[in-house]
Amino acid sequence: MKEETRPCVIPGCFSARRHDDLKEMLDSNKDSLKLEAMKRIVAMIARGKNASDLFPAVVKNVACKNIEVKKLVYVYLVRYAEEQQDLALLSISTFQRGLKDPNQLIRASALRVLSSIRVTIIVPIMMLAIKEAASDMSPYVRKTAAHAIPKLYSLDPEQKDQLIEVIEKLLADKTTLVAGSVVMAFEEVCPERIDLIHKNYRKLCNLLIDVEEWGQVVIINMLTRYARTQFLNPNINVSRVQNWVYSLFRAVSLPIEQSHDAALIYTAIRKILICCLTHVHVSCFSEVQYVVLQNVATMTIKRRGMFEPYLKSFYIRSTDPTQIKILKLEVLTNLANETNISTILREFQTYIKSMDKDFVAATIQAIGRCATNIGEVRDTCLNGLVQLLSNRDELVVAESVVVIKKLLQMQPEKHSDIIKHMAKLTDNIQVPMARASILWLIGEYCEHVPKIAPDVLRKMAKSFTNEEDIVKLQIINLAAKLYLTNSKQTKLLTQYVLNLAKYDQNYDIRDRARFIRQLIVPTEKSGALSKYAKKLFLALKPAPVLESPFKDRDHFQLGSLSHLLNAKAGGYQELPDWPEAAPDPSVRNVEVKESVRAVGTVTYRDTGALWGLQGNSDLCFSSKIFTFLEEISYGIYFRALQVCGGLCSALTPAHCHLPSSESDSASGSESGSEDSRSGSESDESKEASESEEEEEEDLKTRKKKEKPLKKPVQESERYIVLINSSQQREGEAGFLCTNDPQFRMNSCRSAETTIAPSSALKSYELLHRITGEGLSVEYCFSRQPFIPDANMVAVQVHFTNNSTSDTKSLHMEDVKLQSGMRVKEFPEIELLPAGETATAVMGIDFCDSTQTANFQLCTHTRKFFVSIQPPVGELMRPFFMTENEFKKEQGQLMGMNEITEKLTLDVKCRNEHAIVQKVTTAANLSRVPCGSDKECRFAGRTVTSSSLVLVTVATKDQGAAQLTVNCEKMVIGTMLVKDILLALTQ
Amino acid sequence: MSASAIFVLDLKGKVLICRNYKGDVDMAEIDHFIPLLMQQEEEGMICPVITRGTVHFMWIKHSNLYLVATTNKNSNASLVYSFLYKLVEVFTEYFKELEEESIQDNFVVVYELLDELMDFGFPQTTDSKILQEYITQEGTKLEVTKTKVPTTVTNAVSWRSEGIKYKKNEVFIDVIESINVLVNANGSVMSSDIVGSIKLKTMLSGMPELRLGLNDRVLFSLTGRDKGKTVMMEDVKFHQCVRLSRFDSDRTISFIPPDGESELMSYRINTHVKPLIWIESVIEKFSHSRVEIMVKAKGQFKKQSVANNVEIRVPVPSDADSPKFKTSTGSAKYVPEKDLVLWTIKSFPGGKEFLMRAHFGLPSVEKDELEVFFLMSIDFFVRYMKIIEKSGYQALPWVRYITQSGDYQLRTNA
Repeated sequence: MKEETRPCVIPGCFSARRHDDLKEMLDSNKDSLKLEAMKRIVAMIARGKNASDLFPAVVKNVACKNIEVKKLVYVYLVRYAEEQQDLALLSISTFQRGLKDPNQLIRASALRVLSSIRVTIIVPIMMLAIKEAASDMSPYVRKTAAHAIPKLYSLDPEQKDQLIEVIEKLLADKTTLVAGSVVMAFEEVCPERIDLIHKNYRKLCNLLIDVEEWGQVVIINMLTRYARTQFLNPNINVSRVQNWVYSLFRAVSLPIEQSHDAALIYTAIRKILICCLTHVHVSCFSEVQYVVLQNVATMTIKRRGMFEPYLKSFYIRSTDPTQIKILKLEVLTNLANETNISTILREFQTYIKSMDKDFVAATIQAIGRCATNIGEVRDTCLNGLVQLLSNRDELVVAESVVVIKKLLQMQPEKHSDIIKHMAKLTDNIQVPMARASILWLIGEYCEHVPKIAPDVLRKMAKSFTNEEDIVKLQIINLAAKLYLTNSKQTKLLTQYVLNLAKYDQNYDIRDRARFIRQLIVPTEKSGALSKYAKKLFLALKPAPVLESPFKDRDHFQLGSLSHLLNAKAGGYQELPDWPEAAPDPSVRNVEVKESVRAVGTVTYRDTGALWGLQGNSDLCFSSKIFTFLEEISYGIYFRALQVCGGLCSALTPAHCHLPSSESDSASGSESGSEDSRSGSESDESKEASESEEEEEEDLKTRKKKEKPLKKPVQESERYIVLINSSQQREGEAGFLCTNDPQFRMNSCRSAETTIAPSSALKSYELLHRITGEGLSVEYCFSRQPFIPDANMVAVQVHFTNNSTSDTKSLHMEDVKLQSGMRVKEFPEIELLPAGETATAVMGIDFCDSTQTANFQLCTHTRKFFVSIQPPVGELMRPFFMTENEFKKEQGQLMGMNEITEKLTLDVKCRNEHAIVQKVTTAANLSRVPCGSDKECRFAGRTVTSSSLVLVTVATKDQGAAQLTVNCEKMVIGTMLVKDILLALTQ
Repeated sequence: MSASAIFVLDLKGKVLICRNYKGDVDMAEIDHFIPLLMQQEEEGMICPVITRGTVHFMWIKHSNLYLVATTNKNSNASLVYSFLYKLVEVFTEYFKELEEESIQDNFVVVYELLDELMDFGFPQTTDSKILQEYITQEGTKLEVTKTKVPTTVTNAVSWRSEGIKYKKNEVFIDVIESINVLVNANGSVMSSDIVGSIKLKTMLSGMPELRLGLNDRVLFSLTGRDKGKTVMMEDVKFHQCVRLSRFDSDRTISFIPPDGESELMSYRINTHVKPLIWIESVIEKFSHSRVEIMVKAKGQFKKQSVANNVEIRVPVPSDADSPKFKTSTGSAKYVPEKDLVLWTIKSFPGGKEFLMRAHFGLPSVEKDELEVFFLMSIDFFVRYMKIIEKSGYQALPWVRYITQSGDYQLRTNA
C-alpha cells in the first residue's frame, strides 16, 4: 500500500500498474481504502487525465454504503457515462434504489446524477424518476426534479409534452426552494406556454422575496416577459400605476414624496438608479462595474434626465482601469446638455492631462461629440481643441486634429484661420492619421486658404515618398482638388505627385493616381466624366455625425450578454411588445379562498422583491436591477408596477388591505375586501350578502339612521345602534367582536371611563368652505372604538353644506395610503341639502404611525384632494390597569423604551385635575388610580399593535415636573412626549 | 441559463480544474482563451467578455488564477460575473486563500463544490455557511449532519439554523465606512460620498430577534427630534433577514441575524465631506533634466484625533529616474512599477503639517492626481442594539467604528 503515497505525476509506463492498485483498493472491503482510491481518481479527472479504464471497478462501488464514496462515484459516473454507455447501464438499478432512499439528500443526488448521465437509452427511466421526484415530500428533491427537466429536454426534445406536465405540476408548488428552479425549467423548455403561468402568477409574486437570489433573477426575468404579454403599456395608462409606485417605494424603504402625477414615477425610477450608481462608485469588482456602466451608457442615450442629477458620480478617478474610464466618459458625454456642458468640459480639461493615452484620445473625441451635439459650445470646444494643437504630446495633437477636422466640416467658412494654423502643423506632426486629416481639410477648403494650400502641396510633394499610405492618398486628393481650383499654380506639382504615385509600391495608390489623372487632366481620350471632375471632388460633403457607439444597443435587453457584446448571442429572445388590448385579467384568478389573504397581506413584500432591492448580496443585485432597468430603457415605468397592478386587480379598490391578524379566517378577510367595494362600513359576510337587494335596503335604513346624527355626543349612541343591528344579523360584527376580546373589553371600559368629554374633541379642517365651493368638512377623532374593525381609529367627519345648492353623492375615492394602512370608507351620503350638515364615521388603520391618509372627497360635481393626519395621541385607546400592573409593565419598558423629560408646568395647570385634563386631551389614555397625589399615571394601548403606552407625570415644587413615557414603539413614545409637553407647558 | 462550463486556469492558461455542466460547448474551446486574452492585452483593450465564434468566455482574475465561464447562449452577463465572484468567495471560505496550490490540494472538494454550486448551468445554493454543513473535507462529519442540510436550505429562516448555542452571548457590530472624495486643482470638493456597511458577528444562542437603531434622519424628522447629528442615507440595502415592513412603518431595523459573520446592511451617504487631509503640491523644473516635487500635507481634523497609516501617492512620469526624497515625517519611496511615489505616514495628528520633497531626473513633467488613503472615523453611529430571545439571556453588543481608506483624490495642476 506504500504506492499510494507516491506522487501523482508518474511516468506513463507506471500508470497502468498504478491503476491496478486503484482497482485493488476499490475492490477491497475497507471503505477508507475505497475512499482514498476514489479521491485519487477524481483528482485525475479534475486534471483532465483519462481514468475511463477504471470504469468497471468504479461502477461496482455505486452501491457502497459510505456516502462519501458514493458521492465520488457519482462524480465519476457523470464524467464517463457518455463514453461507456453499456457499462453505465449497470449502475442504473442502483440509482433507482437510491431514488427510494429514506434520506432526501441521497434521493436528490441520485436523481441529479441520473439526469446528468447523457445516455439516450435511459430517457424513459429518467422520465419516470422525474415524475416521481416531482411529487416527493421533500422540497429539496422536488427542486432537483425541476433541475432535471431541462437536462432531459436537451437530451430528448421529444419528451417535451410530458415534461410540460411535470412543470405544470411543479409550478403549483408553494415552496420557495422549488419556485426558482421550476421557473428556470419553464424558461428552458417551454417559454412560449405563458398560459401555465396565469394561475401561479400571484403566487410567484408572493414567493419572490423569499426565493434565493439566483432564483429571483430567473423569476424576475420570466415575469418581465409575462408582463409584456399580459399587461397594457403603463406609458399610456399611467393613472392606475402611480399608486403602485408609491406602495412599492414604501416597500423598499426608500423615502419618497407623495404626489399626484407622473413625476412620482420618475422619482421612483431615479431612486432605483441611485442604487445603480453605488455600483458605479464602489469599484467592488471591475467586471460588474463594467457591465453596469455599459448599461448606464445605453440608458443615458434615451433617458438622459434620469441620470443627469448624478453627473458627478461618473467623474473619472485616476485609479479606474482604462475600460471603465472610457465607459464613464461615454456616459458623461451622453449626459452633456446646455446647462451642464461647462462643468463637463472643465472635467474633460482635467482628463486631457492624464497619462493614460488611450483615455486622453477618447476624451478629445468626447469633446468633439459634445461640440457637435451642443451648438452653443461649439466655438469654445473648437478653441480648446486648437489650444491642444500646441500640446507637447503628439498623440493629443493628432487626435485633436482629427476631431477638429470633423468639427470644421460643419462651418468651414468661419474658421479659415484654424485651417491655416493646422497647415503649419504639417511640418511637425508625424501621426499619419492627423497628417491625412490636415491635408484633407486643406484640400476641401482650399478656397479659404488660397495662398497656403499650394505651399502645403509643395512640401508634401517633397516628402511624398516617405509618407504613410493614408497620407499619400490624401496628398493625391489635395493635388487633385488644387489642380481643379488653382491649376495655374499647381499643375506641375500635381503632375509630379501623380508621377510619383504611379510608381508607388502600394496598388491602391497607383490605382488612385491613374484614376485621378484620367479624371482631371483633360486629354482627347478622357470621357464625359472629366467634365464633372470639379463636381466630383468639390461636392459639398455632409458633416459627419458624431454618435454614441451605444446608440444602436438599446434594442438588446439590458443586462444580457447580447447587450454587452452588442451582438445577438445564441438564443437571444426579444422582449415582446406590450399588447394592444389587455388580455383577460381573470385568467390569473385562483380559487379565492386560498389566495386572497396571502395576496392582501404580502403585497408589500413581493413588491419589494420585485425591485430586487433587498438583494442579499451585492453582486446579484446588479443582475436583478437590470432586469428592471430593461423596462425603463423602453420608456416604460416598470414592469414591476404592472406586475403589482395585475396582482391586485382582483381586489377592486386599490387599497383594501386585508386584516392580517392571525385570528381572521379566510372568510373574514374575504368579507373585508367585499366590504370596501360596497363602501359600507358594516361587515357583511359573503353569505349574508347573497341578495343584493337586501343589502341595499340595509344600507338605506342605516343611512336614515345616520342622517339625524349631527353632534359628536350622539356618536356613541349610533354605535350602540350599530352594534345592535349587526349583532342581530348574527354576522360579521359579532364575529369580529368575539374574535378580539381585548377590543371588547376596551369598548366596555371606554364606555365607563372615557374622560374626554366630547366637547373637548378637537376638530381639524379637512376641506375649507372656499376651496370646497361651499362644502366645508371637518373631522375629529371621536375616540370611540370603531366597531367594524378594532384596529382602526374612528374618524368622525362632519359635512356642512354652506352653498345654496344641494350636494349629492358625497363619497370618497382613490385612497392613497402608505403600505400597511387601511381605510374603511364612510358610506356614501346621497344628498346633503343646502345649509344642512351631516356626519359620517370612517375608520382608518394608521398602523401606529402618523402617516397621512390621502383620498379624494367626491361630490356629484367635484373632487377634492384631502388628507387626514392623526396626532399621535389619537393612535391609542385607553387601557385600564391597576397601579401594580402599571408599575410592573413600566419595569419591563425601560431603557430605550423610556423617554423622560423635565418640564415646568404652565401656571394654569398646576393642579392634578388640570393635568389629567390636559393629558387626556392630548392623548386618548385612561387614568391609572394612584396613591400619591404627586404623580398622575395614564395608560393606553396603540390601536393597531396593542403596544402599551404608559405616561407618568410627577409634579414637584413650583411647577417643576417630570414626564415619563414608556412605550415599546419608540417613535410613538417620542412623539407623544412632545405633544404632552406642549399641552402641559402652554 | 448562464454558463455551459466553468474553468479554473492558471496564468499560463493550463486548466487546473473544469466542470462541464451542459455539454453544449466543446471543452477544447478553452485553449483559445489565453491567446485571445493576450491579443487583447497587446491591443490594450481588455474586455471581461471574449468571443470566439459562437462561444463567449466571461472571465475574472483572482490572484494567480483565471476563472472562466463559457457559454454560447444569451445569458445574463452580470449574473455570470456574480456567480464567478461567488465562486471565489466560497472557495476562499473553504481554503482560506484561493490560488493554484489550494486548488491542487483540494481537487475533490473543489469538484464537489462545483457540482453543488451549479446544476446544468444554473446557480444553486451558494451560501458558504450552508454548504459547509454538508460538503466537508472530512467524510466522517457528513454522517452526523446529513439529514439536517435540507432543513436549513428549506427553512423559512433560511439564513439561520436552529439550536445554536453559545456560552457567552455576544454581538459585534462593525460600522465600516469609506469616504470617497474628489477635489479639483483649486481646492473645491467636486464630489464626495461615504459608502458604508454594517457588519455583524453574532454569537448568540437560539433564535434571537435583534433591533438596531441608527441616527437616521428620516426617523428623526419623523419624531421631530434634534436634527443636528443625523444622516440621510441615500441608498440602503439590507440583508435578507431584515424585516422590511418594520423598517417601513417606523424605521427600526429588526431581524433574526445569521450566525457568525454577515453584512447586515450597506448604505451610501451623500454628504459634503471636508477633505480631512489637505494637500498642496509645487513642481519646480530645473532645466530639462531635473524636477523637484514638493508636497505639503495638512491635517484638517481635530487635534485629538489621529489618522493612521496615511498613504499619499504622487504619480510621476514613467520615465523618471534617480529619485531622491526628503520628508519631515514618515517615509517616501519610489514605486516604479506603478509610476508613483508612495509617502507613508504612520500616524498623522490633526492640525499638523508635513512636507515631502521628491527629486527626479529627466522626466517629461506631467502630473495627474494625488491620492490619499487613511483611516479616520465619522458621524454615522449606532444608537442602540436590542436583543430579544425567548429564553431572555443577557447578551453583550459591541460596536466598533472603522473608516477605511476610501478613494480620496486630489487633482493638482501640472
